[in-house]
Amino acid sequence: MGTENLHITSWVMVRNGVAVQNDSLFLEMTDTDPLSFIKALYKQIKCDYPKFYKMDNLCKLAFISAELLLKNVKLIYGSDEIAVVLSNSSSSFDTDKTYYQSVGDKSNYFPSPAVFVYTLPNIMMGEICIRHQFLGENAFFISEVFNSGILSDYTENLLNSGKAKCVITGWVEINESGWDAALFLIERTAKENEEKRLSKEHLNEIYALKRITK
Amino acid sequence: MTNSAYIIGENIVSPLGFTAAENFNNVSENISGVKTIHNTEIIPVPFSGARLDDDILNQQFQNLKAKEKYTRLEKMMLLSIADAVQHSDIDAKGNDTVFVFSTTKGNIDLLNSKYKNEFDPSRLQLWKTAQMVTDFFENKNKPVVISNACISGVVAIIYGSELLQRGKFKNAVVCGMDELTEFVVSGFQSFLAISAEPCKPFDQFRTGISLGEACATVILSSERKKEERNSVEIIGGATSNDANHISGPSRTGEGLVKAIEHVFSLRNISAADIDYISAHGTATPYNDEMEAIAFSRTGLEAVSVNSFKGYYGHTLGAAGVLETVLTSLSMKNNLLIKSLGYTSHGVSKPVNVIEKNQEKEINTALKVASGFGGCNAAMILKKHGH
Repeated sequence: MGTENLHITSWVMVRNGVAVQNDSLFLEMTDTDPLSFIKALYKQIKCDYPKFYKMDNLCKLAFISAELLLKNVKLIYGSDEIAVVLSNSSSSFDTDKTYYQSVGDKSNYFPSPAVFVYTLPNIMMGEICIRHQFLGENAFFISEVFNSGILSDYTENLLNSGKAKCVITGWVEINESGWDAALFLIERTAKENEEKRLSKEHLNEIYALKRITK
Repeated sequence: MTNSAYIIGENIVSPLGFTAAENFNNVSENISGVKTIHNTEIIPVPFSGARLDDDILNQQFQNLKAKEKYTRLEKMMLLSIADAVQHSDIDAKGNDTVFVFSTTKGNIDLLNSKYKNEFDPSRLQLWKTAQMVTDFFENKNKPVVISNACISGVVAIIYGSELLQRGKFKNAVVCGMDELTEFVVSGFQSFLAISAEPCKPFDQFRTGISLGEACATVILSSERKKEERNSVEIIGGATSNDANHISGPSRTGEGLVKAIEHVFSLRNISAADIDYISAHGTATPYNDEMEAIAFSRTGLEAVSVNSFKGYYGHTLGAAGVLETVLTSLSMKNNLLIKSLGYTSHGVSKPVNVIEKNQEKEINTALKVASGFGGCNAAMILKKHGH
């Protein structure tokens, strides 16, 4: 089996004060910091999920991106047929640094379990799964830069091997150069659509924002 | 799926030795690496854990005659992979060989200011560690890194085996590693999850985990070793999410049940086929209870089960690979290893915990793991005679 009928049916990008949803601009704010932008998105989406405020920055970014991705989508699958496969470069390093400040100095020692739990990158997938009650496959990959090859290949295998019927995949990264999220919904659809076919080239095009039309 | 994925080489670098055989011998003699550690550089109070001696590690590392400077964790990785490669006779440089790594925290200890002038900060990045180690073996394929909490090692082996089954590569070097650091120990201590004495998986008086460190490697190949009497094959695996809580397992075992049921149905296996289970068995009250419920719900309550955490402590991203090596050797030796620390039944469902070493034909084994973020994994190993 190849990627016939496996399609990128929905996608979002959240980066540099811009949120894009399926070829169109959802929200743009200039001169804003990434966290304020994520909070603005939370309001814009009319999200009501108090746990959001407890999350670390990386999970907030992943969570909001998933909210936007699934906003107008009706998933017709069983909860255990929906997989989440994410990736990034810096793992949970943003929160690792914060956590380490609480233990590195033994004269000022106050490790917090509420911070420590966020020092794993796959917690992002846990938060998304809890929110949407997804019980399917999970995997988290680390690569230096956005690696569409691994995500495309892994997703294809999940869908073709019968392990999943729908995959939410993508990239959620926070580092010194900014916050960057790109999520893709991959499903098997009856009608072939070459433009949306799952491939690393198509994931790259979308990631590079080459498809915004308005 | 056409090809197979056999384990043709393995290694463990841990407080119990520098080869898989040395580790398996120690475990077979029920010798544990877990001790009470007093080291205020790690945490202010004593804790139970298993740590590799620096002098012994450095001494072993000299044999590799490495030209560059490597971190403590990278030394463990290089030693582990070099030994496993040597035993498997694969060409580590070959285009048809891929490196897959599993870790939770990698070189996180480099956050400590004492390393500031020793290593570039980029070494803290997991992909960088993987690349450094892959470069040492002169392999040109991009290494793959999986960081999925405590199921990382099992996910990496499932991933590697599927690459071979799908004909993408001929060999996969799967290496799991994590270090016992102040970062990790303080974090689990803040959860009050660390036991003061060596951990007691599934026991009535279990009081939490012991932490450990290790680097373990399996070499998977689509071709079995010709001279070997028995070969162990990874025949399949599945993962799942509990969708319940980010730092605690589901009370009903739902996620682990899904992963087990899924791999059973994918590979047409039933509970009756399973001769042995290598459990996650961290010895926290919640984990062991959750696993017992999941085994009961999947018809596995009578199957012999152990946890290796009593020997090594919890080695996080290394655990899945470490325990797969020990499972594979248990199968080849037809030896069920005593689940160290267990004396009285301490979970709400029947579990057939191995109370002393026992010879038994083991043809099919189940390896499971669970971790923070609600993740679970189940994988099936099968032994083939000549």
